[in-house]
Amino acid sequence: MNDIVIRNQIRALRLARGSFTQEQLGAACGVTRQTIIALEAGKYSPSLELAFKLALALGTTLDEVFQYAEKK
Amino acid sequence: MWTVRRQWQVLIALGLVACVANLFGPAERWWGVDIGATGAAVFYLCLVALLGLMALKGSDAFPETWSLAERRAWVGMGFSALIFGATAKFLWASSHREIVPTRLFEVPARDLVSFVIVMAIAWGMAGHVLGRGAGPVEHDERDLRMRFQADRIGDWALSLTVVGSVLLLTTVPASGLAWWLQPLVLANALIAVLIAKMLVEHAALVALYARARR
Repeated sequence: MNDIVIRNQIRALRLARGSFTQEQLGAACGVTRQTIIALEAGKYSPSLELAFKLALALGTTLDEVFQYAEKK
Repeated sequence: MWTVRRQWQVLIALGLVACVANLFGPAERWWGVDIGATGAAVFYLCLVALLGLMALKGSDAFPETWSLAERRAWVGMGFSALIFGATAKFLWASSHREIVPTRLFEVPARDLVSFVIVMAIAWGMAGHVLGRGAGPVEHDERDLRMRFQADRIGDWALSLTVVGSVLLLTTVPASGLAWWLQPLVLANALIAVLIAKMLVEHAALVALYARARR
């Protein structure tokens, strides 16, 4: 099985919601601002629970927030 | 005017030099100055200044992208390195004494114990002061994941130390280990191993955070 790369649209969705800061998103999901920074930079893959919380906080579905592709 | 980060760096560098002078300075005076006592005084002054700076401008001392757990890991690494250094120095000094204590109250560990108590109090204060500026979330799953990995590295280091000790005990003649196998010496060495494990865990945590940012 090939490795996959998980991409996310957290930053775009967060900015689309107006003044939703990293701090506010982190507080809504129970994580630190630094974890949101790592997520947006693609340097951290969240647990399934956190992924659902993020989707809920951003008012969208999981597949709108996270996508995966095979690593080339 | 120096920035807060530069003040931190200067105080840490000065404190480190003073601590080395305190722990490993010569017994005799240099140009009439007692290096060990002067080092101790400067070290404690730097420690108080660092705690004060942390209380007043703690949020400016570390990069904004560092979580509270990462900041505490750095502080923990610093304090555990100091405690390990003092313990190692105590063991080294003990190995040069001809009379080995056989009862607990005979162990000349008053300086070490008072140093460890002061460091533990300062460490607790630093952790508390850092936590004051934290947001609503202090630790999250990413921090816990890092902590778990660092603990595993510490466990591996401890296992390797135990295996190394077993090899040493089975290969080196008993006469060569006579000093180390005396009960109170062995007890001190085991405490030093636990402190070393704590240091390895904090250093691993710092390295894991740094790697995750790359």
